[in-house]
Amino acid sequence: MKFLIAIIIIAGTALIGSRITFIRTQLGLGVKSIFITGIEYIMLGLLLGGSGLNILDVDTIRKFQPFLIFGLAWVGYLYGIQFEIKLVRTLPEKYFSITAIQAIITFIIVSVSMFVFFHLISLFPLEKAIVLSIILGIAALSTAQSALAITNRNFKFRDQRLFDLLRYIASVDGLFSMMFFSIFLAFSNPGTAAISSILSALKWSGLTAFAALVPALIFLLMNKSGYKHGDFHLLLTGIIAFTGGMSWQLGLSPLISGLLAGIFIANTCKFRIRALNFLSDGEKPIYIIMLIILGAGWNLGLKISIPAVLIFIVFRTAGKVVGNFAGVKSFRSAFPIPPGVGFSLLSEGGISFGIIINFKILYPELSSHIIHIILISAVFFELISPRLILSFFQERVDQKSGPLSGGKDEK
Amino acid sequence: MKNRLITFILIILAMLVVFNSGTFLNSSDSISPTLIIGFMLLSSFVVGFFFERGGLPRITGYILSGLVFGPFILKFYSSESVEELLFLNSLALAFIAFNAGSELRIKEIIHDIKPILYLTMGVTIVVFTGVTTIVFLISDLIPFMKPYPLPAKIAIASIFGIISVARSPSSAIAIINETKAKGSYTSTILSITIIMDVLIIILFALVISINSLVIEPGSTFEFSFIAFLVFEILIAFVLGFFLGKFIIFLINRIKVEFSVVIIALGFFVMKFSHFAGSFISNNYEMNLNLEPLLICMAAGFTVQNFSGYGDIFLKRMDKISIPVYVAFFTITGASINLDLLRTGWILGLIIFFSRISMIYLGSGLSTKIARSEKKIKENSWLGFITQAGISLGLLSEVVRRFPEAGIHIQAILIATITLNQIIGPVGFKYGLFRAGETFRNREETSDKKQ
Repeated sequence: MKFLIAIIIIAGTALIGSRITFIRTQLGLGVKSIFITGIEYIMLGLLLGGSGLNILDVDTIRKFQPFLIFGLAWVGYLYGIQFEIKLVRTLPEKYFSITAIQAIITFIIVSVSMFVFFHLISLFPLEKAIVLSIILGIAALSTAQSALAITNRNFKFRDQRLFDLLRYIASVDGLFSMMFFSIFLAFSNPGTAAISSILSALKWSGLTAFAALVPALIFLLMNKSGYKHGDFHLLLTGIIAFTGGMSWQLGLSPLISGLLAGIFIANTCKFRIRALNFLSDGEKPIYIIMLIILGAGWNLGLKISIPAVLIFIVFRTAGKVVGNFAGVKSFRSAFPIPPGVGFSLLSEGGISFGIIINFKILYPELSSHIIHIILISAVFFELISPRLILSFFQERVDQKSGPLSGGKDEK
Repeated sequence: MKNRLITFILIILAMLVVFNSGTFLNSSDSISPTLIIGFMLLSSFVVGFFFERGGLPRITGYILSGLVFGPFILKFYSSESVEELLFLNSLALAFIAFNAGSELRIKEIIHDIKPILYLTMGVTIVVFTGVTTIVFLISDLIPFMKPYPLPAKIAIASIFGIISVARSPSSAIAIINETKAKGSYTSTILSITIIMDVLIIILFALVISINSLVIEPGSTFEFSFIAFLVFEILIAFVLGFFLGKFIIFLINRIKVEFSVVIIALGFFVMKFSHFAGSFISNNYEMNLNLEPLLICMAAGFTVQNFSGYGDIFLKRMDKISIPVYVAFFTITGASINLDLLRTGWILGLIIFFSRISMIYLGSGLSTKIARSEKKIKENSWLGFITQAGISLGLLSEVVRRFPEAGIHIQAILIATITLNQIIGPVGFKYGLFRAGETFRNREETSDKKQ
């Protein structure tokens, strides 16, 4: 009965939620940004979960695991299929280098600081502390696009190139998150925090490539222009489920396998746009369901909560600011870039959530601390990000016509 | 074709690698449902394509794919895994029932009332009496029937007879969708199949009630049982009517993802029926058994005939029909218990041929009396072979009511139903083609004209 109620609530929310946006509502920019990131669904999950009404208890959440695996593979495909190398090459190469530098620096600063913190409080054994710090570093480096989207909707950047750079970093740094996550998974032993041998890492990489490329190849071989709507959807759904299922069965990451398969398809398949459209259509409901389940697993009563979250917020901010500063300084830009550009890239969500969901299914024992830190910090960053962008770019943006945050609800 | 073959080999190889390479996870001792669903969708999709190329229905390919890769032959997934996925079958059945109801158009039924009425009655009477007689005549060759006295033998034979009357609307609709068939033959066969789906429940209850008196000494005929059954069906229709009105409201007012809504509604009806049934029996000592498929069918019928949204409803359903059919028929194939089939296959084969002969005879007589069109006269029997879900449901009821004889009847009839499940769609597709009502027929005709 609990499972039935959970399904009805989750499916209903996903259905309605996927049709509603809050961009034009009379809400503050920060609150709008929260809605775009989907944090309200995490809160709903929290309400339904063990810390709230207990409708989504541990058993019920476990029943949703096949869906989480499918959803993660879906997100991976969707992200990967947008990486058409031909298109990426049309953008300036130094953008990529700036993104890489900021990603690496943010990762190092957050991981090291969190490791020191975990080590000082001595709550976890060394190996677990390393795993937790690395995952936090990986989740910290990616930027959600929500705050930029909100700001762009209400304001116009005087220099569009600057806005393009910000958007580029926010879109591409997720790729670095996924890369680091892959390296982490290759060298760690799922379920435990033990470090694996090189041979095991190679096996992991080989199997991941296998779990990604075989379905992608099947998709290519099976694809033809004359497919009816239903046939195409069936094929793509089957491919995604097959990728996710194979990855899970082998103890790999559905997210990473999906990403690799998506990149392969993006660069080899002439029907990539059709596939992208289908994946985009399903993105929002799938994302909402995943967020609700993520929220349901959120344990509010953890001891380390406040100091750990504070340290994460401080060092993530520092990482982003220093990383972007270093990245920008390393290359001559054709247009002026303010040194504190990192303040405009603090928004958190999207890929970070995907990574912690994936981490949760592979490392259920360790995930509660990560979920706790990421979710609270995401709320904080989403609240302040649009205002930070505005205050930082005060002289570089013009308000678009119409009220700052007015208008009617958009459905 | 070459690409499909390579794909097929790749899918199989990938599964073998997954089974043999070991896992990085210590806890993963069973196969992930996500992997099974992915594998089922892809393998059935490819096998369905091969069948289509061979002029056979895709759904036969889906069923065989489920059967071959399932728990009894290649064992790519276990019976437990299939059981975990059976909820998908319930969802698909609800979807198919919505579809079936909305395919019934009052105008068309009234227009073809004569052949529909004659064929429904004629085939039912001939198949029931024919199969009953044949089973009775060979009852001495059926080991479990030997010890029973003559009246009980007739009663048991009549159970074979009544289940032989049941058909499969799901297979019929899937074939019609696949071939995009249109015309009087198509609508007549579909209407009869769907009407029979409702009638069979009543007829079955009648036969079972009478048989209880003979097979179980001391039982009394329960007229109230039949009356209550009719009452249950009426309630299902009323609920279906209101559900249909709600769907009309959704199509009209709410611009949400229709496919998800319709599947969610199906799921809700399934769960609601079970919940309402157990709630009433627990609180009011009344054994109310609401048939969820009848509710969905009545809802589809309401949308088609009491609103202007029938075609929109069908079009939207059609958009998601392929994944639903693939999942449904593959799981159906995977659920076929070959161990049971092995025990009853000879008798199953005899009943299979008897049933087909009777359908042929019944259809021939009925269409002759009704003076039906030539294409209906010649091909109607081909559309009545399919059998699936409802027959299996009735069989479970037989086992529940007559545990001793029921288990043997089930073993034999599962073999028959399996054969009908596989051969039926082939027959119906051939019938549609011979009647000239498939999309391919229409294309060929337009080519000739040009």
